[in-house]
Amino acid sequence: CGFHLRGSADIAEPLRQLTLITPERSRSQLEPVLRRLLEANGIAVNAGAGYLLQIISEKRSRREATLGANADIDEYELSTKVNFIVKDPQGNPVLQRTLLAERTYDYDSDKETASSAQEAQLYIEMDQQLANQILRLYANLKPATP
Amino acid sequence: AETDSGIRDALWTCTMENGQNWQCDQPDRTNPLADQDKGQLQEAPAEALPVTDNAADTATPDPAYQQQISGAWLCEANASGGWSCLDNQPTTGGAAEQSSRTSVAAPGNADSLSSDDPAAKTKTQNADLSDIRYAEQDWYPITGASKACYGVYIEPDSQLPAEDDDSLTVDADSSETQLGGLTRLEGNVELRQRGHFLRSDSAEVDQISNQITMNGNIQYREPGLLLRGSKAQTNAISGETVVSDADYVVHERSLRGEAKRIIRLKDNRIRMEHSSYTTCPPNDESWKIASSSLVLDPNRGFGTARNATLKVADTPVFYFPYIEFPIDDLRHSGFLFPSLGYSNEDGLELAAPYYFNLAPNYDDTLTPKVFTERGLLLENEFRHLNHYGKQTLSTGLLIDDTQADRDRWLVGIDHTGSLGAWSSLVDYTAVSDKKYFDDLGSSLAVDRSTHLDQRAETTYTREHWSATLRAHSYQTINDSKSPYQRMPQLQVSGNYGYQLGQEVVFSYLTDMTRFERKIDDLSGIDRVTGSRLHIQPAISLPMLWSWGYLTPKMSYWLSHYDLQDQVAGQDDSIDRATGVFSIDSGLVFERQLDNYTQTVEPRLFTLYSQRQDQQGIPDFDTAETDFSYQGLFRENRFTGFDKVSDNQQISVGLSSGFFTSDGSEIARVGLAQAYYFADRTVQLNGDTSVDTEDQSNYAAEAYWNPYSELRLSVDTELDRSGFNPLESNFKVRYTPSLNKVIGFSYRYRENVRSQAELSFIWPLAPEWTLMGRWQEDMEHSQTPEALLGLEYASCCWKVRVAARKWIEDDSGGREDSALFLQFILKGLGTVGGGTSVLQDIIGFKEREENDDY
Amino acid sequence: LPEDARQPIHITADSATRNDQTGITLYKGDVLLTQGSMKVTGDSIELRQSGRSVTSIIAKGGPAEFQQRPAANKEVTHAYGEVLHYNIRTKELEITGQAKVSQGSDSFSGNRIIYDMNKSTVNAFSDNSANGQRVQMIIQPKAPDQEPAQDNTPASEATSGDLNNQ
Repeated sequence: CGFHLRGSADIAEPLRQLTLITPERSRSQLEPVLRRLLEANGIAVNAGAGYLLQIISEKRSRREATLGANADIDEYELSTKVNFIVKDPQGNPVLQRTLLAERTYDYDSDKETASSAQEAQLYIEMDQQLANQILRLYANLKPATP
Repeated sequence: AETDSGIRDALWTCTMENGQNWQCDQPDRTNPLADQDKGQLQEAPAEALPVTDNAADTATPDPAYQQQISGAWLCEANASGGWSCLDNQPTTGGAAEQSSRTSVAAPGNADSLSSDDPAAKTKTQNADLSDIRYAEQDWYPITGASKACYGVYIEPDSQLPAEDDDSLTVDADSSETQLGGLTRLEGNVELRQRGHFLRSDSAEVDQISNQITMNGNIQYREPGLLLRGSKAQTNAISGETVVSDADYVVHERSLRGEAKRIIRLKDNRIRMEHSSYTTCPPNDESWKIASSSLVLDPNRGFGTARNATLKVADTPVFYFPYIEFPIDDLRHSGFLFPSLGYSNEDGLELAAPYYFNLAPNYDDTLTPKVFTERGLLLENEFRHLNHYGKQTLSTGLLIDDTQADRDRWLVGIDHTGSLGAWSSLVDYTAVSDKKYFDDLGSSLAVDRSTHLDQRAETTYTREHWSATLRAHSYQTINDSKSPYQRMPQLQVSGNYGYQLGQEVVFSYLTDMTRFERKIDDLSGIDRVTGSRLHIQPAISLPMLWSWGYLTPKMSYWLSHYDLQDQVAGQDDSIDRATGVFSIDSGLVFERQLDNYTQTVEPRLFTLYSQRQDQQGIPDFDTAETDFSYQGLFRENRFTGFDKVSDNQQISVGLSSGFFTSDGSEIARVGLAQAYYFADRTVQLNGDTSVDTEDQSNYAAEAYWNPYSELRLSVDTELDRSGFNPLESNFKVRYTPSLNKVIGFSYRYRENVRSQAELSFIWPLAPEWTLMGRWQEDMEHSQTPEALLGLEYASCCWKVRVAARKWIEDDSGGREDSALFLQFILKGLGTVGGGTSVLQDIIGFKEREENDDY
Repeated sequence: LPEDARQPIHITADSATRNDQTGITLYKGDVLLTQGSMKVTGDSIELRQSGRSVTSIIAKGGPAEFQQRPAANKEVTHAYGEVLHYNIRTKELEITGQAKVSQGSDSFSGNRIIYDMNKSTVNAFSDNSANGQRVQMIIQPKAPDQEPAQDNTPASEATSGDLNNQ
């Protein structure tokens, strides 16, 4: 049915050098995860100019998904929304996206501390998922042949 | 309430030194907050997407949905081939912001973005320039107006002399000049100088005093401003112009009004005496603010009025001794004033916010709220911004609440900051009593939180490791157990990659925490408090190829506990050491469909972790995670560190993804199951059951994101034998535009929950929009939340009426209902406060923030 | 300059015709007339005399030009136009057709300008046809403390025919 093992589509040479910029005034939780993933895929990060990947905004939020019998919180829905832009070495924006990842989990108000630990772990998983999506979009860029 | 940690936009100045490394010095800007407007300090919109775990990325950028990026860096490639990022002044609309509003050129062919803003262009295209009823005020109706404003201000493109050319050019029908002295001009006099233009019937130019007086049908123009009047005086050197008996139009902000005198000052502020101000179109006198003195300051982006009266249809409604409002068009434009609510429990509620722009980097909003059944609640929010971080102090005070006959207060501190390797965060809320939010959160705000976070932390990050010191306690405002407080907690984690022929990654996580708790009404192991030292080193060999991956990982969970009030039969000092070994592997098969690429990705996850008796260890931050597709591929069935699950398991997953040419994933479907080779005996405290099943239930999930406006997702847990669904969740989100949002979700778990939520914003006509939210709990056959709102929006004002019926949390099902009326004067900038119940309608906040949908 | 009127008038031209009854002398072809600091150039200049003294000078050209320094401390005033009619007794210069008068950095233009050198006033008029040329005044506002820029090029005394037609 036409399936074959994915060929070695390694990343185009100009894309192998990247400057990663994160928003200021608060620590980006996505940055370490994204930097490690880029480096694991052979992209030198913040080691000299090259392309620019700028995380414009990164926002975690929580909202109630369902309510329990006593109209208290039954499940929380977590979401992380990241807006990023990629510019080529000449400064032309070549990619801009707003990505979103979500998880829903059972909240137990008698185990608040455990719930907040679970939230922390789910947010890390969402950061890894967003980092993978950013990497795939970035690696897919076809730089104009210099 | 919704809690989130919004990361605001960067304001640093940062240059790349000759292509080597990257220097980011302190932003030297004097007024970092100048471009921060009221709206910016609010969080970005919480857009909910498919509920399943690997949610889709939005396939295409959705310009209509772009949030304003005030302050994000503007990074340009500099000559030396490096990047220089300057702070992006939103008032000047830097390229980064410009690019955010325009749709990105198709990636791959890397042509540059069109820099001009298509939205503005379309506005002028369909304006009917032939309809000249209000042409003298540059106002032209829009044909086929799709929104409440059926007209727009269009500036004629007059050819003004260049900014630096100081010469004064005057055209007229005739002139009499005393050389070097006084010139009298008659007949359609047109004066042009340095970027502004003045027209009158007659004029006198005195070259000695450089004073020019003009009479009759005055018209003063400069980019973005039109003044008309009977007389005018301008100074040829300073350019300061005074127009008397004038009316004015500020095109970009669509502001207009009249004034006895309008003075255009040197520093391009506009001062008006005995003036009026409105954003209503020329023939619409719905509201205006009349004031003895009004100063519009485009540099700071603010208007300040003194002894101002709000007039609605010419009848004075409210008096302000002093009122300040943002006039920067980046502000969303809804001055929440006043808002009115009635609920049978709290009686009538009237809130009228006052906004003070004290300085470029701090401002204050005072919102007095009158509750007829309770008294006067003063709510205040003080916001401060500096180059390190952003701080907000919110307070609430109600002296002598007549119903609760006690004083009520609230204190909230929020801070995020980051500079260099250090960053910090504070999220602290405290209230006078448990019922504060239920009573005073006003019937307009939905609040079902149970524990108020009282948390402060600081983090030091290096390239390979980071350390966080945190103190996290709670104030419990319902009758659930008071949680373990982490007073304090130190977490140090590191990650090092080495090339030993094959990539080897060594990582470690250490966590030293002291757990405390109010234990008066607790019993048994719940009463145990103490401290825990947890060290978790791990080694993994990630082998990555384009067609697959294989990652063996070995980690060791070492914990030591010193406990107080330990349960009888368990000792106070416990050590636990458990080895966990896992191999995560998978292949990627691919095929090309007509314009999609489809992948099939089998995944094999083998997990072995030693069995340890951990019953004596209290569950400080540990609970069992609920069953999910992701859960089958985790090393530990429990959250936190107090229980390490004993596993001999292989999880098998098969998922298939569909990708567009630019690499965005538009759909994915997946099925997974785990096979167990040993019983699972490790459970939470007090649970002595043993899982003896040899395979897990099936976890299936799928989402489809055909185009950015429509997202569907479903996830389900199928019983291992009968395939009948134990849990199934479905979600759909349709957002064709900012003003049209439909969200529906249904969540079912066998005899646990069966609940549907519908949330919608839908325009019935350009002026009328229906919005609502409805939650139906079929399991307990109750409607915890039912809200219906109707909004009438004319060009310059909006009125919203909403009815809400809800069940108060922890009230044994007591129902409350409220009516809610809100007036918004568009163009006066939104005041931060007034979290209204409508904020929980999906898409409402984004709609508020981009008011010119 | 005030003493210009007592200076001799020098005229260079390609040809000249004189008509004693009317007292009009007509010079043609690249005509240059100078008297003290005054200088008039044009395609043709008509000199009208009554008795011995010249009463008016009428210069025509595309454009004809008139130049004079009204006073020692004043800048040279230039005037251009299709027809320049200078009445020496009233010291009033009437310019018609693409008229322009400039003094230092200030300049006036219009369809017809009357420049009265005694009162140093310039009155400009546009022709009243719809798209006729309107009056335009361009001035450089000078801050009061700044001395008006002296036009320091001394008026060149016109002596011989080789003067170029500035």
